[in-house]
Amino acid sequence: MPSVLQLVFLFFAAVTVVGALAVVLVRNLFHAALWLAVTFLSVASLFIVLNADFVGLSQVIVYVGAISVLMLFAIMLTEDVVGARGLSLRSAWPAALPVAAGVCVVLVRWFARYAWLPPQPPKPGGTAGTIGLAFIQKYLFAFELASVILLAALIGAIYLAKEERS
Amino acid sequence: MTAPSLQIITWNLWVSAPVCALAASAMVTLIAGAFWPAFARWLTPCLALGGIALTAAFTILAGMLGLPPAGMQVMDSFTVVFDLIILIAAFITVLVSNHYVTRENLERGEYYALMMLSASGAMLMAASDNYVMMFLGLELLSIPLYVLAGFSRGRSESQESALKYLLLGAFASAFFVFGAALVFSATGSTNIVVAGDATERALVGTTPIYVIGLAMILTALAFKVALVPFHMWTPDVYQGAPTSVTAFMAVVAKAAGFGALARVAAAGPEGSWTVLLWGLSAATMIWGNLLAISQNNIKRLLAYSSIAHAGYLLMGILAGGRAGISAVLFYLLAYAAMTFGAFAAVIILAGRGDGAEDIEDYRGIARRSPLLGWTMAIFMFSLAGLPPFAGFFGKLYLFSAAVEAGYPGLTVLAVLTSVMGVFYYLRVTVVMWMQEPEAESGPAAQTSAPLLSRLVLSALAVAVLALGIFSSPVLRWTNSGSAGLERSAEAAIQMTLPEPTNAPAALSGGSR
Amino acid sequence: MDRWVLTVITFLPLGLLAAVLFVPGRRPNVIRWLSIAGSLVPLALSAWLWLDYSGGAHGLQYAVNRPWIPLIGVNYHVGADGLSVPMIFLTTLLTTISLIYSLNIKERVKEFYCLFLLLETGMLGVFVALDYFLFYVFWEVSLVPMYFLIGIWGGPRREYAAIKFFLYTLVGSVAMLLAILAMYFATGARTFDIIAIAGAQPFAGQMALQGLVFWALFLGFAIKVPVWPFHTWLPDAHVEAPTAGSVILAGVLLKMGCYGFLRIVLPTLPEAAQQYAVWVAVLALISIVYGAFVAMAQMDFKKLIAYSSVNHMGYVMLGIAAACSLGPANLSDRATALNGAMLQMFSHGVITGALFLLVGVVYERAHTRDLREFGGLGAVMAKYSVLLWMSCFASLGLPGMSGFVAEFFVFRGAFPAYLLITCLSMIGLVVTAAYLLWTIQRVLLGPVNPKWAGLKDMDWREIVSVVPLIALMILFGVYPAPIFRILNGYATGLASYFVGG
Repeated sequence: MPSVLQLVFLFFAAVTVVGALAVVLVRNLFHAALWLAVTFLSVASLFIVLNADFVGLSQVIVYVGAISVLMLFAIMLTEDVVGARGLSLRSAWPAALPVAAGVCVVLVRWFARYAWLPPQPPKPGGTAGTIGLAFIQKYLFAFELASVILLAALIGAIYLAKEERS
Repeated sequence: MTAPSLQIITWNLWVSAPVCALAASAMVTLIAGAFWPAFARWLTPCLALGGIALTAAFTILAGMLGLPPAGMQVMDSFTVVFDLIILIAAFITVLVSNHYVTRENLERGEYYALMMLSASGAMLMAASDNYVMMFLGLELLSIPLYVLAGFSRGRSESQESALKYLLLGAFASAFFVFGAALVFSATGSTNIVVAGDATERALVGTTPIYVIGLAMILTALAFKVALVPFHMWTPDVYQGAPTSVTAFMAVVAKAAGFGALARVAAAGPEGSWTVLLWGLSAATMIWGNLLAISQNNIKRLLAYSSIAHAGYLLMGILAGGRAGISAVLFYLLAYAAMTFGAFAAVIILAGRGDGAEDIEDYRGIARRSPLLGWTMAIFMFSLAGLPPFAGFFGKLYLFSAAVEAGYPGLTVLAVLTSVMGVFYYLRVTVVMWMQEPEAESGPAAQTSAPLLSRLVLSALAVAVLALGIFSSPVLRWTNSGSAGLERSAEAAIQMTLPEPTNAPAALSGGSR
Repeated sequence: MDRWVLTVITFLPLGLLAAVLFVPGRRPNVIRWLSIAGSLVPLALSAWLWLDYSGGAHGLQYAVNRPWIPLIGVNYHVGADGLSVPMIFLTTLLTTISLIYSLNIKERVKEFYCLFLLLETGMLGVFVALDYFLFYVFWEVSLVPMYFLIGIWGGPRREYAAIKFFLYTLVGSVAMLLAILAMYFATGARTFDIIAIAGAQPFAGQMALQGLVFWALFLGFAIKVPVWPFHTWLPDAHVEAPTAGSVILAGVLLKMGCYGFLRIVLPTLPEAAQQYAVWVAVLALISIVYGAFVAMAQMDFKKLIAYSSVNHMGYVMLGIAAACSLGPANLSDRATALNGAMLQMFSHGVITGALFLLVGVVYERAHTRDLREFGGLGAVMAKYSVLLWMSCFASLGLPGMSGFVAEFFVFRGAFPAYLLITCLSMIGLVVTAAYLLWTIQRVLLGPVNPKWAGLKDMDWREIVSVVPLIALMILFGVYPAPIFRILNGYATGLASYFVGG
């Protein structure tokens, strides 16, 4: 008999899968973006169920709050250019399906048979503090490096987007 | 909960000094370009060259200190050799770019800044002994490259190239992250050597999750270095990107991938891993050379030739050991010289707006410009692997390492495919030397070039020759690099042995 | 001092090339005469080498052995013995002659002379190298300039001929490279030294592996010689090449193939060489007879001479095959066959060089090489006629000319080994005489074709080019002792070496 926590996990897992499928199958681009937000939200819930509260919240802020909204804006702004039709990926289906199914079978099979690390007891006070300290101590360089990457992306975005002067 | 300690920097900053120096120089270049646009034409390239030289000095200094691995990076002699190769390549890129960006009106601080940031990512990839750091390096390498590929905003080919590269590159990055996550979950470590060693000690035979994870990482790196079947993007992106960026991509991005592969491959399990690399290498050599034969566009031809060369390089990774990795490093250096040379010639030959890129446009060029004729012939013969040029010596070192490591079959295949390669390189020399120039000066009439470009072209030709004939000291140098790789792998295992890793359960686990 | 003479001979043309590069292209005469004058120095040095060489069984002289790439055991090892001294002389002589003859080249003079000097360094390097790595490098270096010479200054189908020549030779040399790597790893001594590897006898007793390496090397050298059926590049390359290119191609480059057999295959893989000698002999026989008959059928003067090369190089291969197959009892027959093969290499270089020059002479005047259109040139061009008569006689093996001595020695050595094959190859001798005499008849004799009545006789440039070659044909035909003095040391050395191996 599964515990309540496990039932909750299964529920969100199902929502994630359904949402992801809907993103690909729905014809309307706007609806697909909304379904993507649903998927992101349920993934975030999964993280929280797994005691990864920091990752879960980041997921909500970054993916749901920023990326999904950005996408919706992009779709709305370009609607009169592209129209509301969905992307047509039909030609690739026959090839992609067996490959995806195969990868899925392999992964599920090995994941099921594998002895994973035993779950660590949840830290009191959540994970945010631990992660934050790690970022400014052990992983300071990696953390700073991520900001350099963002800077590079920023420079690139500005260069590509700004008006040509002459 | 213990109070956070105030000790913030827990590693020796020297380990990260080269990357920091290059990134900082990139910022300076960017700012200078933004504040004094009037001087951008000569100021930004000069700053870029200075920054690269400064970084090289830091690299050599840091190398001499003999630092232990720290902060998920290693500053061993492999890193030093590799970083210097990258820096030399970046230096040449700046020199080669100058003529091109001036002609195409692309002279912006951003151009050089992005290029330097990308180079620092490349350095990081080879210097990291940790999958997380390697991923950051991969992104730092790639993101500026996506922008640079689309740097000619007026040309739709350039835009298309950038988009293609971005989309497929994002897939590759996703593969890398997923793979790294699987490796971590299988072994409890993101350290490359420790993770590999953990699987070896704990689970004799195969550790499927680890192998799948590693295969995904390999896929991502294979995409970066354009191994068949992950090469589809290469010809389109190479053709569309600004030529100087293509040269940078062909050399630095490829070198970075191989630097990372050299670190990762040593941790690969026996058996399936070897078969995988063998197959990739064979497929890449055959397919790359085969498709290059039918190309009419010089940039596409060089793209397929770069794919073929990735196949040869992978042989060295497969062979591994001191000889194999040393041969890879030597070949990267030789490859850099001849590839930059070929692209430098292409830059001069293409009129404004990349007009003349078909090989047929080069008819009789040797008669109009002996310098271009001679140097291009040298680069082509070197790429084809003919002595006494660097390409031959590099191939020979790779081949003999492969034979010694027990892959004679692959070596025979490599030799046969390189004969195939000779055919398309010869075609370029035939067109340039043996056909009559067009009576009416077509788009390829452009044979005049600024003094700097001609100097760079000649210097690269001399380098291709000298790297061949005087390869002994260079080979000794690259050999010290591969020795460093071996040493730091041993050191990493030694460091983890006394104290149990933070995930002993994974080590004693295994298949149920 | 003496030790560095080979290095000087080999790299002097390269230095000359550097000097020529600095002469502006608008002064072609400076370029021409600088190259010719400079090329006299290696020629003089190699003549001195010939006189100074003292012979002996293991007569390696002027050797220099310095590390080049110590990490993988590559040395700069050069030296000369009885096999290489005549080849070095032949190379420098034919180069100087070609440079003189090429005074009539008007287009892209600077490139022409630069490439020719590079070619000379490559060829000389092949003959002095005693390290596989060095040998291979020079082997390929000699390939590239010839490719350009054919491709730029060649006839109408020059691109096709140049690529075909390059690719054929490259396939062969790549097979050779694999064989070299196999030998390198088989000895385990981490050395590329030709003599050291021969001394170590890699694959001794491993016949399957030795056979594989033998055939790989065979492919490399047989394409160069060329042995039937690998000869198809030769007529194309010869017909399209400029005259000087043909001279060097036939005179020196083909010899590099035979040189490889004698320098590398025989001493290093004696067992395989002995086992497969009969196959080599059969291929040599086919080359001889087929080459002769195909030459007879040619209407193009130059193609005829090209096929005569296939025919004549067959004798060299026959001599080599015979020397391999003979038992220890026939030591002297063995040495005879080897002496004959080596003399034939030299003699063919001289004779074919002269013939190609003479074809060039008439082609530049008449702008055709079609034998059916000529006739009666003997009456119009007296000097030309004398020189052509003499060259053709030397080629068909008239006693008193060097070709006769060489072929006689080959047959004398080959009879005890392969009675039937040798007898059959006599057919080639007869057919050779037939087609050369027929050629003389069609070109020089008969009624004067009025079209050619106004042709000028040979000028000083052409005479200076051809006469030294004719002189050598007669000298070694009448008195071969000076060359046998040099060859015999290597021949007997190789013959006795074989018994031990």
